[in-house]
Amino acid sequence: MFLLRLIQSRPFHVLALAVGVWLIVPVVGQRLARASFFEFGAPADIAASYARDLQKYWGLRTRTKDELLKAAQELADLNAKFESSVQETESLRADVERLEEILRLPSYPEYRMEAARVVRRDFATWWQRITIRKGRNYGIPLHAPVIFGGGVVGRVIEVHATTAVVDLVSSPTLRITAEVEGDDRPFSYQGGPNPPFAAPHGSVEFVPTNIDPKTSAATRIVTTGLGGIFPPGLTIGHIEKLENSTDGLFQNGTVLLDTRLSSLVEVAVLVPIGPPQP
Amino acid sequence: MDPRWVVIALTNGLLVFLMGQVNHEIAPAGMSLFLAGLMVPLAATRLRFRTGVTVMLLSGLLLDAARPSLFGGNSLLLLAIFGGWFFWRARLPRDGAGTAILGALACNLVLFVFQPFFVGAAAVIDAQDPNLFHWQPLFFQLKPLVIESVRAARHLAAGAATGERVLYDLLFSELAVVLLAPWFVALQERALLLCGVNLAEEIREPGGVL
Repeated sequence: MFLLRLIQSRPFHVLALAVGVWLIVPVVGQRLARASFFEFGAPADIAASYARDLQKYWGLRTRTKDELLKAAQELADLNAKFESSVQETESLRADVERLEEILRLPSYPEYRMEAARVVRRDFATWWQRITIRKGRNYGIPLHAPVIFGGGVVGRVIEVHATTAVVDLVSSPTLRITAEVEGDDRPFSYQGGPNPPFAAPHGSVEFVPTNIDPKTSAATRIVTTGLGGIFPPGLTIGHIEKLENSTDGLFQNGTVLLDTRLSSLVEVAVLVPIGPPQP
Repeated sequence: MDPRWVVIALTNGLLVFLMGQVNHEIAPAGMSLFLAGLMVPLAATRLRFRTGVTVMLLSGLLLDAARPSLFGGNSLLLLAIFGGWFFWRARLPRDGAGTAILGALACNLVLFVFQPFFVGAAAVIDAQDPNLFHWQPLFFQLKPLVIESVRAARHLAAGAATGERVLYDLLFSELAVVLLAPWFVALQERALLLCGVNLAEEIREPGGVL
């Protein structure tokens, strides 16, 4: 009778044993196992992303010559604009360097841009992240900032052999300091909450009370450079609304992020040049 | 070698991959689907205990590897669900799409509800000093881990998503499970058949090896 009961309750004994084993395995062992399982699944995701690229390529091949010529013309216009922007940037950079030398200011950290294709977008209920098609093989470091044409994308939180995982600026797991463009008082920014069928959102806390998005033209919030991960001046989003906090000393509110964030195809990782900062 | 655990674990891996691809495509709509509950029905109704345990552990680890949640958390939860179902399976119906659908729906609901706790626990572990925490088993951190993960999950629930988002994600996930459960179970059975395992015949054998 006892033996029969023991056999019948076998599932619970096995569960207790599995929980016991899991509890005594060191964290490093669990991290190693996680990395191994991730690498096991990574080739399938990469293959799918190459298949999407191929699909797009063949989709473009079906376009007529007229359409391609028109696209080329638009591209040439854009190139001309960018060339003038590059010259302007070079001149501004020279000015900054000159002023840094005169005022003996510490120079901003320099970065090289590493463009990477998005392998997978993961906009789950509890987190928002993307996987990119470059990892240790391209020297992507942990915590590197990731940007796109619309501003901040997020920061690298996992680096694998050929892929890296980026925690998005819309993810509640990402918290950074921000400031309103043209105002140097920092406040706290955090990703989320993200409603369904809507653009990604963020939230701000400890915003000075005299900042009012209804009366002010400047609602764009940018990175401050504090914390050492993101360089200053990168666009995060636009303040949607602000409300007084319960103590009345600050304001809290929501931030509307770039709608393109949830359909990213290519991003740029800012890889710091020079010795790593402490 | 019995190919069952390999075949079922691989089909569950395929499910994790397809779930990732679907979520990639629907990301611009601000939605996500969670379909892990589909991993349980065939294992719980058709497989032997040892094979089922192996499949659940491997499938859970595959699922956890692609998510920022407590590694092993989904494995243990899948194992618990499988164990409960296995314990009761002599008293429950085993055949038909209805069993697979209802079972998958219930499993998916339980797994979905536990996700914020696993994410919270992973955040607690990640926040620890890696030099001090690397070689320590989780056992020594169990009490703070449970308390902090519940706190982190509550914080996450308040800040990560609106109630509307959670509701929509759950609703669409359950709907997808209803639609996909018969197909996925048939896929697993057909994959086993290709490897020479005929589950339908085994059920009819005297003594019921299952």
